[in-house]
Amino acid sequence: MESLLPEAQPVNLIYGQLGHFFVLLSWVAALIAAIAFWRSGEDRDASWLRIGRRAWMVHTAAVLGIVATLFAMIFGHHFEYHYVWQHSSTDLPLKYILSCFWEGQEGSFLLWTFWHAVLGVVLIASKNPWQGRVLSVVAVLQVFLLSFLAGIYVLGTKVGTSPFLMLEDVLTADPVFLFDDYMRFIQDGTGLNALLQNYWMVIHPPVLFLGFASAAIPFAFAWSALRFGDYRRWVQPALPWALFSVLVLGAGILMGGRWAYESLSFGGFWAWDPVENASLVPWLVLVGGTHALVSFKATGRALRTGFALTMIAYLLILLSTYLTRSGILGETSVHSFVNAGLNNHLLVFLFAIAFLAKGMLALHWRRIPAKATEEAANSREFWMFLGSLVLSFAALQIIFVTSIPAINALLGWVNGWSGIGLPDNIPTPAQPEAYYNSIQIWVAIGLGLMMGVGQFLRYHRSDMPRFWRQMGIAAAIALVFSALSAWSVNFEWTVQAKLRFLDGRTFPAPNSELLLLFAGWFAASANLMYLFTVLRGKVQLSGASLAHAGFGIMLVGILISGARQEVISRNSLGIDYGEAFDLQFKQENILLYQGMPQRMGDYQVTYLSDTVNGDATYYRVQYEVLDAEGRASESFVLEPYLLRDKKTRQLSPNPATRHYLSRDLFTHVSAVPNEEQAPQQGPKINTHTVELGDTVYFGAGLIRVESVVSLPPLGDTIRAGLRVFIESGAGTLEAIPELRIAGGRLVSPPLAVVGVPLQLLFRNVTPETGQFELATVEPRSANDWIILKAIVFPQIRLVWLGSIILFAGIAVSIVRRRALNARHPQAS
Amino acid sequence: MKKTHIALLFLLAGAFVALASMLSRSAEHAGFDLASEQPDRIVRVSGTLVPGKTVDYQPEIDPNSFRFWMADKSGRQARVICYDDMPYDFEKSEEVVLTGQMKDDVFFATDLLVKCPSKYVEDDLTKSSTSAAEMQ
Repeated sequence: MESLLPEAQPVNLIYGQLGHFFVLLSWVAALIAAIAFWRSGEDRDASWLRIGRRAWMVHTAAVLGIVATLFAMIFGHHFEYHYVWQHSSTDLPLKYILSCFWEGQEGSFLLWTFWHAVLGVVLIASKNPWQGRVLSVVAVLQVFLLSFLAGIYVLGTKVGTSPFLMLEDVLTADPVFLFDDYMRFIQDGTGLNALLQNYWMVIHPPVLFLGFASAAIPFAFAWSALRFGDYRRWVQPALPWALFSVLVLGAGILMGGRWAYESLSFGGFWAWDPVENASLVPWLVLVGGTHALVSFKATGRALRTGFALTMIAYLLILLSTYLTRSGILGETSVHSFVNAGLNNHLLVFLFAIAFLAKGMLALHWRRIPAKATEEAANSREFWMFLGSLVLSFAALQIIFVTSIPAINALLGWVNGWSGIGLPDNIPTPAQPEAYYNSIQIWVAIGLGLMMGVGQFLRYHRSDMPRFWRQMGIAAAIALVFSALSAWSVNFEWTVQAKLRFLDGRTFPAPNSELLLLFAGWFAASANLMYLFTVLRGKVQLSGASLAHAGFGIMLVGILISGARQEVISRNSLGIDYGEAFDLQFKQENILLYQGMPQRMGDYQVTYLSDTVNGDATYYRVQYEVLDAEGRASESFVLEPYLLRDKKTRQLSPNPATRHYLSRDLFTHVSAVPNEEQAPQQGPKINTHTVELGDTVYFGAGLIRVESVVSLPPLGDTIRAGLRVFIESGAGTLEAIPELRIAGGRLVSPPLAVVGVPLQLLFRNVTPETGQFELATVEPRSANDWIILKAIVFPQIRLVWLGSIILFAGIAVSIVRRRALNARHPQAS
Repeated sequence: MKKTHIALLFLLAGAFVALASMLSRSAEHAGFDLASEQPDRIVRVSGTLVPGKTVDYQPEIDPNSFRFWMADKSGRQARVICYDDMPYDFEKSEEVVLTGQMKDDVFFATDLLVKCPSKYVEDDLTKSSTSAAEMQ
């Protein structure tokens, strides 16, 4: 029996030993670098700086060593290591092997550490005079981050989890380890989560973590500026870094949205899920902080705001890390967070850094230079400051609501410890998406308007008549675009029952979505106008205009695709939910029998066949747009699929999308029969010649032909209906299949009978004999069906287009700021 | 009074409105007991599927509703009708969080959140595809 087993892979201990060694080396080197850089700042001693740089190089080499070791383990399929066994398998394509690296907590901490190390090398290479001061802070962060990878016991407490643990040391209780050659039984890993098998998951995590890591640099600049009382000069070198972080973190967040849109079935690119919020909030604050720094460079104002927001943005990244990795948000998120036993460790990290940062800020606050006079209302800096405030407000609202489960846990803990009895059951919004949208739409309106106004105002004060003239033109252009897009996607002008008088009467209010539509177009048109008329198209100066125009276009895209999305897979005949009461039901799924066409929005949809390919089952669904004569003017096939997870054997649906210029048709399979599929065959079609009063039998019951119904013509098309009653297990149902005569041709649109696996076609009529041709279409096996959901997202391309313009604009600004810094170098 | 202070006052008012609107549109985490006492209130109940009771989903008849029995944290069981398509592998779920209201001892859910066992982590050798048990 044993001889039938495959050869055992030899257990390779080298990787684990190498990995542990590199972790230790990188940690020690980071500690030395931290001390050396720290002293270099105090003593202004070049020798400490040299030691620090060397230690940083050793540290970076060791981090690269950890990364290389882990990759070698995963590529070599060394399943004797727990991390490899848990996160990969032999059948994964190469690109997804990369994703295995950062699927686990350890790998993603490692990714974060890796980017810190690389950014440190860039700082050292750039000869930035602030490098020692900045790196002293980053090195301390590295010491903390690497401790999460330690996996050692200190005074009986486990500190961190290592990716280099042997399988037998983690799953000690499993009897398989009683065998010396236990690797015989472990030929494959448990694979990568099916949801993560998407190319956006190859690129999204590295970009997001580069965003997290790069936010540490402006934070470190600000902290060092406070430490050395050098309050002004850090802004110039820190600004390109802050912009870089805004660019990369923003791109990372958006890639996450794109991944969600392409591979998750929640329908859309943004769901206000805690995981998404957690990365958006620091970005909003950092954008606010960057604006304050730009404003300070130009006018000497808003320095305190710049300090505070740059530092808080980084603290929010740490808070988000805690919220998303600790499992504390449990009941409000679709993500199953796993508590990896790092919670207290994460809390120590968060509170230590927050305490130091807040302490420094409080200590130095009064000494940070601020102008006693106030900004003029017609100055650019005033509106930039206001914009930063609004961004901070948006961030505060999102992070507060996202953190409610954590706040409840904290209050509960305080209660248990002090016995005070604080309320520790703060409720969360019943419909989070609708709630966040209803608040954040006003933030977006405000930002859109301010973005349009800001560029035309000058620093200090502006020429008002000229300003109003330009605003008038921009507003007029925006109005035209708003009207066009409002008309093209049928926006409603008012919403019911928004304004309420004291006596309870309600009145329709203007639809706030239209305001946002205008605000978005206003931001876009004003900034493009500024780019072409004031800047005369000079690319190197175009950063802010491009970024703001892109953001405006993005707002328009987000609004239209979100507010005017339409679920077209609705059951046309409807089902009576007798027992239900005034709840809102989403009847968003439709039943498709194989080979039996069904109407869905503008399409006639037919489920053709399914194909199994490894863990995936593809469902071929044909879409046809029919003209009045029943000919297909457009025809295509979408293949949404279901992926079975290797580990958990759970199914996850993957959408298929048809992209048009003006909209997307987004579809996914929401249910399939449980049993094995019957062999594939077409449906059963029977044509019956009947007279009124006849009875026709079909698989599940009988059909009584009742009467002829005349239907109003559709243009030139003449229509007639045949009223029939269908008796089956679902009771007696009435149906009226239709016959159309268009251009001398007979057309019979198939009529699906809800609740019965049956379609009816009224094929022909012979007036002389009073006979009708009625066709019944039935699935050969009742198991040949799928349940489909389809959503149309109008103008979703504007979201992607706007974001590309936004990021291009930020990139131009980075180049511009770097060029300015090179021209006016600082004395160190 | 500075312009900035006026702006801050506006934002403070905004924050107040946001908080008030959240409290008025929020669902309290509760059990079936509270839900049946206050049938008009939308609540959020978390619990587990009752073992032994079947989950009834017949998409051929209605793809947009399914029924099951759930026990809340206190152990009280109730019949649940959920108006949505049933998530894949719903029967295997470890924890279910429902949002909805109760009427005549039936909980009508408009939204549900399912937590599946160890979605990201599988730490049991016998469940892996080439388990020791299968091969011996």
